[in-house]
Parts: sequence; C-alpha cells; structure tokens
Amino acid sequence: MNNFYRAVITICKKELFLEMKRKETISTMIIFSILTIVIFSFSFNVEQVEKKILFSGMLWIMIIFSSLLGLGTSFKKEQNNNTLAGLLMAPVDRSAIFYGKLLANMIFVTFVELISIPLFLIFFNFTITENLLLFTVFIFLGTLGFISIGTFLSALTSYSRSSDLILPVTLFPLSTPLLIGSVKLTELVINSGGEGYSPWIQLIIVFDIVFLIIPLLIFEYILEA
Amino acid sequence: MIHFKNLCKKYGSKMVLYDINLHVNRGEFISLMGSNGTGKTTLLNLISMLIAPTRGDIIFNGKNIKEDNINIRKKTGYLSHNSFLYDHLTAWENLKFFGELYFVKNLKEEIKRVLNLVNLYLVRDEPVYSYSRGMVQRLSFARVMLHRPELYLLDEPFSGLDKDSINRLYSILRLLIKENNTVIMATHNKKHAHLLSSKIWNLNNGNIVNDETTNINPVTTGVDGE
Repeated sequence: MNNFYRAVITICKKELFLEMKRKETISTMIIFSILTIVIFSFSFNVEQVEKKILFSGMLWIMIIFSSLLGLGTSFKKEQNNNTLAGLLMAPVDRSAIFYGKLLANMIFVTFVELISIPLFLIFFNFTITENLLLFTVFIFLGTLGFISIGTFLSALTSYSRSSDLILPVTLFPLSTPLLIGSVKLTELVINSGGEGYSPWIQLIIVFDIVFLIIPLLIFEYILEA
Repeated sequence: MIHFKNLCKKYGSKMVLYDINLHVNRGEFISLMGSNGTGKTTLLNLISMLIAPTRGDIIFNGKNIKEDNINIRKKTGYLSHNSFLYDHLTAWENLKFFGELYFVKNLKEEIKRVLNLVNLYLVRDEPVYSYSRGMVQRLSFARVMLHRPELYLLDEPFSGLDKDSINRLYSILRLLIKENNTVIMATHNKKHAHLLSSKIWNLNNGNIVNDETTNINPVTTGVDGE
C-alpha cells in the first residue's frame, strides 16, 4: 500500500484507539444526541403531517451539534505534549494528518448516528422503510461534507486562543448551503420518496468534493502557519 | 552533511537567528550553547522542518530541505522540550504508532531494542501518564531512535534525568557517535557539551559567535570527564 494511505490509516487507528481508552468524545456526542431527541420529542406535541415537516430539520440539528462536540477536540487534543509536531515530523505528506483525522471523525459521527437516528425514529414514531437506502446515502453525503469542513476548520482554529468560539462561528456560515441541501434532501425522501432531489444532491456532492480536495493542496501551509 | 546558507528566522519584528552560515559533517557531535532566547531551539526547529526560515536555506546531503522534505524527515530524529507522546497510550503503543508512521521494518524487534536501550522494557505496558519526568524523557529518546535516523536533534536531552539516567543517556549517545551518526544538541550545561561534542557553537544575539573544536573523544570519555 502507498505510504500516504498507510499513514492515513495509522493516524485514524490511533484516533480510534485513543478514543477507546479515553471514552470522552463519543460518549459526550451520544449523550448530547439522546438529550436532543428527548427534548424534541417532549417539546413538539404534533400530528404526523407536521412531524414530517419538522423531522429533517430536527434530525440535522442533532447531527451537526453532536458532530461539533467531536470536531472541537479533533486537533485540540494534539496540543498536549505538542503531539501535532510529532505528526508533522513524519516522513509523509502532511495532508495525511487531515485525512486520518477526517476518517476517524467520520467513524465517530457515523457510530453516533447509528445509535441516535433509530432512536429519533422511535421517539417520533416514524418509519423509513421504502427509501431507506436513499435516506442513508443522503445522510452519509451530508455528514461527509460537514465533517470535511469541520475537520479542516478544526485544524485551522485549534491553535488560536478562542478556538472553542471560532470553530462554530466559522463552521456554520461556511456549511450553511450544505446543511440546507441536506435538510431539503432528507425532507424530500420522507415526503415524496426523494423526487426532485437532483439540484440538492449536486450541491452536496460539489461541497464534498471541494472540501475533500482543498486540504490536499493547502493543509501543509496551514499547519506551517 | 548539513549546510546552513544565510539562514535567518524572524518572529514578528524580532530577528531570532541572523545570517547563519555553517557546515556540519557526518559523524560530528555539535553542542549548541547560549543563554535563554538566543535561538537554540529555533535552529533545531528549522532543521527539523517544524518551522520555515524567513530567509536562507538548509542543505541536507546536497538537497535543499524545502524540496526533499519527506525523505529528509525520515532521516531526522528530534528530541524536543515536548515529548510528542500520547499520555493515555502505553510506551509500547506510542512506539508502535510512531514506528508505523515512519514505516519502520521489523517494528516489534525495533521497539524491543529501543525500550531496552532506555531501560523501559519492563514498564512498556503502563500508560505514559503514570511515568515520571525522567521516564518520559527516556521514552522520548526511544521514539527518536526508533526509525534509526542519521541526524539527531536533541533539545536539552539531560533535563529531568537522574544520575543513572544521565549515565545511560551518555552510553546511548556514545553508541550513536560510534555508529557515525550526526548529533546536534542544544544545552546549557558546559560539562555535557565539553564531554560529548566534537564542536561547540555558542549562540548569542541570533548568531554563532564562537565555533570551538574540542579535543575530547566522546566515545572514551566518562561522565565525569575521566
């Protein structure tokens, strides 16, 4: 296997291994998701038709805010003992650090989604059996875009003094088109079986591609700065 | 082996290193001396490519480090003030991670080798957060040696070590010299510098003010200079 991919997998494995030991990020994300579901389900006493309108927005609120908890610590935890410098000295293109972290963040968020989305459906008495595959693909693509932007900005902001504030302030405006597209796509799957999704899926795919490629080109300079 | 050409580093408006022009031959042990803030760590950070120079070049084995940085990083080992180690991982897990990142062959054997060298093999399965300062320093040294670099950059390697650990580190450094490795060590300690180095560079106001050659044979000289 190419050294670059080996380094990406090594960094991802390290992230997962550290998380298994510390159990900080995933547990916080899961607790937050469950709390959101419980609050939403008790707050909105609505009919089935209204639920269909609200569902996708509530689902994405849960996904983005729980993801943010993981993204915030993604690069910040490399400050302890300056482990980021240890990664930077590795004989591999430095963008491997980004892709390793991205892969790990995707695994964390997907794991949380696998627990929280079924719970969301149960609490809201909802079933998505007909378009489950389409629903899964849309959630995956939306999550991938959000996590790509988030991991990139996490690296960019981790060494600033108010990184906890700067990350959401930069992440939300930048990802707004992607989030609107994701909410719309989820809504279309639920209400009309996914008809008319073409422009939204194009928007999301463009976002995903752009934010997967940009770090390859400029990540080294960002870390140097 | 390494050549510094008009090397300058500026932080904001402060010039930390100014117009450094020096040459390091293979197998040399160089001590960088100077008081706090004279640019010792900055020079090591520049060679390790953690920071970029404001002006000038560093030539490593005839190649500019800007152009061949991945290969040069493979040949460099840096012991910094920070350990670069993950506190929640054990010594073995830390070394396994760094070994994989450096694509070290026969990784298990290499980890055993370096852990034995720094006398941490018996505590290899304990997390780093349970280690003393000296043990962390020794483990950092094991991390540096793991991929068998040609160039060792050591920033205050003796800090936090007790007498036994200092003796052990001395014997490791002598082994490195014997194997014709190149070492650049930043230190405040004149005794360590004089006992180990073939050359001493004194830094002052961002420049090398004195380049002295010692007559010591570091391989045969003891810790106490005998």
